[in-house]
Amino acid sequence: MKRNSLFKLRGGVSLVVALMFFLCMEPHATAKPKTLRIGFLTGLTGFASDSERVHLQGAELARDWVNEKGGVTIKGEKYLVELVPEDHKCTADGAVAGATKLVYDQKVKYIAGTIMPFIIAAVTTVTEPAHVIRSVAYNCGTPQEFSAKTPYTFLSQNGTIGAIISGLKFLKKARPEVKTIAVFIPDDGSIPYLEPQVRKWAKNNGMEVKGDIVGWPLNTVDFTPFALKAIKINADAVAMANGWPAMIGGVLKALRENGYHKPVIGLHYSQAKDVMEVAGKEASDNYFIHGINTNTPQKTDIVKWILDRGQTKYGHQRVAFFIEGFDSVFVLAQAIEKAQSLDTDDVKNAWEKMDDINTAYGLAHMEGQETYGLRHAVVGPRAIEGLEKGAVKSFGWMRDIKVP
Amino acid sequence: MEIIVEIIINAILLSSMYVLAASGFALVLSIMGVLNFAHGAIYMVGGYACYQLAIEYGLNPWLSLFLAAGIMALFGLFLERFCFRPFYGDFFSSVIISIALIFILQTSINLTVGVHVRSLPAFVSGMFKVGGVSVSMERLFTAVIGVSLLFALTLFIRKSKTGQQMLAVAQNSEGAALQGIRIHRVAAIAMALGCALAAVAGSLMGAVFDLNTFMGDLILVKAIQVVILSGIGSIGGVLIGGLIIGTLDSVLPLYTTPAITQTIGLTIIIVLLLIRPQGLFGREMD
Repeated sequence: MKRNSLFKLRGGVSLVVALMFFLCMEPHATAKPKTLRIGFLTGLTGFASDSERVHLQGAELARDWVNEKGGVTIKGEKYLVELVPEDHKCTADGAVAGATKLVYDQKVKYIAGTIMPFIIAAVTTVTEPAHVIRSVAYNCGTPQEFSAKTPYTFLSQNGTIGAIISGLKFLKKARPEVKTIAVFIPDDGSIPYLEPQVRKWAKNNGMEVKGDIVGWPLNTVDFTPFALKAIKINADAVAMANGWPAMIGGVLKALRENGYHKPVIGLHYSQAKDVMEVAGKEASDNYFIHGINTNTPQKTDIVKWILDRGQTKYGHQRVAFFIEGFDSVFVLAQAIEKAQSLDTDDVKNAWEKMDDINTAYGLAHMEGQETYGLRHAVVGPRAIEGLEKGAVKSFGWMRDIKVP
Repeated sequence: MEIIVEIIINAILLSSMYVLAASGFALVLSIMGVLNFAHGAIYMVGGYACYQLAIEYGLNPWLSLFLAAGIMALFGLFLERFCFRPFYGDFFSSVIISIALIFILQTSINLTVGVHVRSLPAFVSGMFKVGGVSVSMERLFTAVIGVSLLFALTLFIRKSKTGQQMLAVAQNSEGAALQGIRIHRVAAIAMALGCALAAVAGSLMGAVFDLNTFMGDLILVKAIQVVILSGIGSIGGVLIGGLIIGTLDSVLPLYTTPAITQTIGLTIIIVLLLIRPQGLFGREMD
């Protein structure tokens, strides 16, 4: 009996010692990576939510990509990216409310996403005073979105001005006979800033912008009156800066229905397939846009991964929109790692000093000092696709894009 | 000269499309006294229903159009019975219900099919050419359907027994009830018709333009403008209201900026309401 009690006592002591040893060892044995919280502001509801929800999916893909590669390493410690999504409702007041919630309730120090000029400008009023780093997914060239007065805001891709530069260069190469262009720009406040850029880069490529800019309101139902206005200008080609596929498709359809069959180019980023869905096959000819699809040659490994994972996880391959969301998180993660600090001033300074940065489309460079007043724009290669006789066709890559 | 003819033709076509979109809204407002802000969302769901039937289930596009109208008519019966009837006579509650419906319908479609860009295939393809001017058959067809449906609706209200009952309910619902008219039945028919018309409009315009979750917001604004201009209570007046708004939207963008275009259109409506608060052909509401 005594022997049995002694045995039990020894066993108990051993168990306690083993437990204490285990508890002491636990933090090292299963050291969990820390979390890097990145807010993602996008339109989950509202008029542009069909595309903006794909941005969030793209951001989730970036989170997966970064985390599956081990996360972000800062001073030897691993951080896994956690996205904190917030809806800006596609309105300026919704954007301010969303940004306020992210910055002051969720306490995030980095916010990715947002593409519309009035949304970006609205969010800036919250993030800049709070020194929150932003990696915006698009830019329409207005100083309210992005300028020397917004030192904590970075542009994660070429933006409209990058698209104007590469699009007009492509047009010159693909259609050398084009000497005059009529230009469509949404009447969202960006016309006064984009018009000089279009005129400048058209001239640089031996072309002239003919007539006034054809502005169209975002609440346009029928694009025919605007198409007729552009046709009246009688230019060799039509260029469209910005707009969603539904709107671009509407313009293309109206142009073709009213007898305009000359080249049409999109000075922005979308997918030709989406444009054709709205314009219809009959109207889908002699059209070019910065876009990428499954048949684009020389796709990067990241684009291939996004196509595969996007299809598996979300059941579609709207890759151009995936990448807008993806890159806004991906480049931000790289800048944080480069800074080796979570402090937003350190990240800002480190990002500003970076020359090269990876994007889904390939290696990009930090540019934009002359154009924006700060070197905060990630400028990289872009694929061009188009529509010919009712079919999507790839036109290779524009690789030497520079936004001064 | 050619461009002027094209502008005139486009003005007529766009006006007819506005008429098509506004007639269901006008009907529900005139008969039930419900300012159904969800009309645009119902128009959008109707378009998506037609797309689903025609593209996903491979049905004939015409059959899909009729089925979509039928489905939305049934949805209209549901709305009348469970959403609007409990608040009959309570204008503000019905407005709040209709606004809630917008969010419910838009979010439902957005979450299920919203991330894809879609457009219905053309019901009629090809171009109609007269002299040097060409008109899309699709737009022409939509315009003809729009005006025809409005005439059919006007005839139905003026000539049929149910239509006369609708008029009676619209003029004085208590008086109509005392005459033995089943006002809830009449309201249900009006709502079903209004939703079916919205579905036809959404399907046809989903082919001319595109399908997106928020397509109804834009057309709702136009429908409200048309109905206010033509006057509440006047179904036939929608034709004139639609013609005015459609012409302004077609012609002004050619000569001025988008902001001024919209300002002029709304200024005309405000001035008209100041001079004639009941609209061009309307009756004064209680």
